[in-house]
Amino acid sequence: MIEVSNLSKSFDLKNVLKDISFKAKTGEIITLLGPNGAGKTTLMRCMCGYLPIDRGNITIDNLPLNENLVQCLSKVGYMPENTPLYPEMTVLEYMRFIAEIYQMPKDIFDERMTYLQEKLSLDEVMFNKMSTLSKGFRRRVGVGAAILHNPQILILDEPTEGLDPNQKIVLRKFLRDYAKKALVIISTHLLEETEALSSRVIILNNGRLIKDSSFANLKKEAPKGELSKLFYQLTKEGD
Amino acid sequence: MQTAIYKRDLVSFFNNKTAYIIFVVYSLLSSVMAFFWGDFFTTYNSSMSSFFVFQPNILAIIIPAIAMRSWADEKRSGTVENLLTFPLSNLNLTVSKFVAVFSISLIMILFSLPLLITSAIYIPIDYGSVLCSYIALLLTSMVLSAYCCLVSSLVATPAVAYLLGLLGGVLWTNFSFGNIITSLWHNAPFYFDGILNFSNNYQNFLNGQLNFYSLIYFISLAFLLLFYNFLVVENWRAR
Repeated sequence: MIEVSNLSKSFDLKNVLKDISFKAKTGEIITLLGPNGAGKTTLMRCMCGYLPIDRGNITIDNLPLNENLVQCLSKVGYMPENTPLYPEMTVLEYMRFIAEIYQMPKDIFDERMTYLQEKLSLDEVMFNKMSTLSKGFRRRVGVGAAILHNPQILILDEPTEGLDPNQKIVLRKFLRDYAKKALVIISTHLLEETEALSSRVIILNNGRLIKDSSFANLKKEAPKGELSKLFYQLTKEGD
Repeated sequence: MQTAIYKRDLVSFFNNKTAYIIFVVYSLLSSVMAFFWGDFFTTYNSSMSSFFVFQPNILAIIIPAIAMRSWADEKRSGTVENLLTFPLSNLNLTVSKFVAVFSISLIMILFSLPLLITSAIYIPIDYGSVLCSYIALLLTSMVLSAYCCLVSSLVATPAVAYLLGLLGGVLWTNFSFGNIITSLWHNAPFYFDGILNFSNNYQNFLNGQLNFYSLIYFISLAFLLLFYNFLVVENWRAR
């Protein structure tokens, strides 16, 4: 479904991503795990077409992203790291704006909104301006906007950052359900998040892919089953 | 053109009090310049030349204020990341943003109509000439809108976009670029000076001539600036 081959990206003279390759398919929840500055956000931005790549290829459903940008992006839902939203818009106006971009018919929009309002508990803020939303609601609106058009690939950059424990549980459950019919890729530096969500883990360190494994195998590999120790070993070696 | 982006930019502009301040400043500047510097009441104004002659300078001051947020504010707030990951072509994005700024400029120009209507009560108006002058105003706005959108896409903050937009606009409407070229290139054809100068081309319309070369001058300049804006957007994204 999405294939990244030999992807390299640099900013000025600094190599941020070095020769990254992996394939991912529907039904997986992939966690991009790594310390700060490992290249997780850059990799996600490249997969969403937000950043041009220096070398390598990204294909979505066998279509090269750079040559079929519009077609590929229609299959992707993306929520950036800090959930940037238009402050002057209400939540409903923003959702309508997204729906118009995806040329969504009104009946489908209404149906999707009912689903999202229920799953993400957005009812109480639908008519609130974005500028008045708490961080938790901003995240939920960001996730809602990313999945409004029912994308086959959902890419979320640190989706549970800033959420309270209850909100994290609700969002994780939602993502697990969503992954039954789509590919979900999230980034995090929290092992707790990886444990709660992932079917597969990709560990990045200093721009390199240092581990690509199912969560079960990773757990087996970890000394005494402790992911934090394995993570420390892997990322320390890379330093 | 993507109507969702166009509408958002328009609504966002009119949601802001600055929009109304800009319109009031435009109306005040237009009236003050025409009445006091243009001797509106003492000159025979059948073509309203006292009004139109100051318009390029006024537009050069005002249009950067309309366009400054176009791209720069999206970059500052991070919403550009959402925008560029929507399934929209680079051309679509560039044109939508430009048309929004150009539309606001045209709405602003409509605020000059009361002056025309009032004048028509007291003096016989040469409507052909006035129409030509309004076409000149429209074309000048088109070029300034394209230029200011380009500047907004090149810088990170609206304030810098305004200053650079103002500088470029004032230089373009007041300096003789034809003279500069002919002084640097001694073998330049004699008509270069006339063809490349804003004032000559603008004056042609004010004289009531719908000059083909002047029309081409404005339209090609706007296209050139829009094309450059398109290249800037293309440079940001996957390619």
